[in-house]
Amino acid sequence: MRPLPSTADLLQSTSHMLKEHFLSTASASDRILLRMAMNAISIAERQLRSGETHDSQQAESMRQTLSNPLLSINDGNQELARLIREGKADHGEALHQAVKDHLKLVTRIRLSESNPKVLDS
Amino acid sequence: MNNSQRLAIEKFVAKAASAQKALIVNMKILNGGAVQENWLTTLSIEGGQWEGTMECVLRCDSETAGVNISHGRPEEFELLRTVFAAGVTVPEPLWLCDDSSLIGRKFFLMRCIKGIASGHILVKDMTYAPDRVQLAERLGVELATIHAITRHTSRIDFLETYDDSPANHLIRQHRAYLDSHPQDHPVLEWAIRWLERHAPQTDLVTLIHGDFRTGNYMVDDQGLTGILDWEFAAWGDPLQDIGWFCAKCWRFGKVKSEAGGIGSRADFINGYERQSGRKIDKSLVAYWEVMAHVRWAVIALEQAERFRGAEAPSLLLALTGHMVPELEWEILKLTENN
Repeated sequence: MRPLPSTADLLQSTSHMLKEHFLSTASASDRILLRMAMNAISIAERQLRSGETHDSQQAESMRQTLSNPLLSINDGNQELARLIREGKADHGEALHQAVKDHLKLVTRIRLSESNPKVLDS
Repeated sequence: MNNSQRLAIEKFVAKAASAQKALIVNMKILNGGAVQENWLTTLSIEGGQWEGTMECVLRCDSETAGVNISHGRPEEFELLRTVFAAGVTVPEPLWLCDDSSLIGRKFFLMRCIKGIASGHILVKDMTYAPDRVQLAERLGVELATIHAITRHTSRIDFLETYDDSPANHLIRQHRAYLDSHPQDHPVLEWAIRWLERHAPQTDLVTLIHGDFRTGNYMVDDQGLTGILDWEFAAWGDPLQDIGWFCAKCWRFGKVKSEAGGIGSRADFINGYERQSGRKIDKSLVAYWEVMAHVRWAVIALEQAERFRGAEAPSLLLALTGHMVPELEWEILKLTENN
């Protein structure tokens, strides 16, 4: 077992320290760099906290959408991309709604790690 | 720039300006160029028509440049000369050096213009170009002036030509990029299929800026001082530039200011229509806003790939890769209805 606090907690504390001790006194150009660093730390923290959960959710949704219980995410994405390009998920096609719902779910999950504020707006 | 590079530049300027001597008084790199470097350069010129002190910008490829769809410096210089002559507000192009042996890269010098370009500042700080109605209209006028340049009216002969419609041409390019990418991107495939099914035909192909957005023009406390960054100029559908400028992803958080985060769409379009004499079809602009999000997402993927392959990874490139989900989220909303 790894010693505590966890990596995610360490990252959160680092980000908090940058904000509290450096952000307000930094020059305008340094503030931009600090915000970039804090943003990167937050993304890493969210990815760590979500662990394997998001991958599992994506894989499950993919398998249901393509009715194939054995698909990996990579293989599923390849199959999905092919079907979409061939027009098999166009408006009016049988797969349309299921593919649309799946893409929304997956994008929501990815966004919850990369930039969750967008989901609140 | 090291000493030998500075000496080479001084020698080049003296010759290009037909001067007895040219000295670099000051030179510093400006922020913001992931693909190109811009060096603020103060020159002291003795003799010839440019005698005196002159503030210029030296523009060259960055040492880690990697987005392969941008033009080289000689082409960008020629574009600048063309649009400057057509009356577009741009920094005056001065001298091109197409011999890369001088400083290791080709470069050109243009006259320095004042103001700021940062989109994040410009959308919030009303001390710059305080009359935003005027700024939005003016940008519309400038864009229409660019779009008045066609293959038949210019001597530009290095831009790619193609037989397909501009929309289909871009669709083909984006698909080719996705095919070359190590991962599959079903949301972008979804968007490109939507773009394919709704692709407009157009009889009007003009010079387009290719990256006409807030962040790529400069303003001071009076208003616009110049349109920048011509490296993505191409022959295309003029609505592509309008869609790119108005797309939500280029409003820097000011989503209600639909003209690049700085003003109203109506003011921008008014300026454009008045200058061009053409009415803009709003539904077609909506199409090109979807295209804008797809194109930005493809560029973001390219930047993420640059990060992965770079010897000195840039955090900016890495974070650009993380913008893809936000762009995809907007694409799904924009293509919600058939």
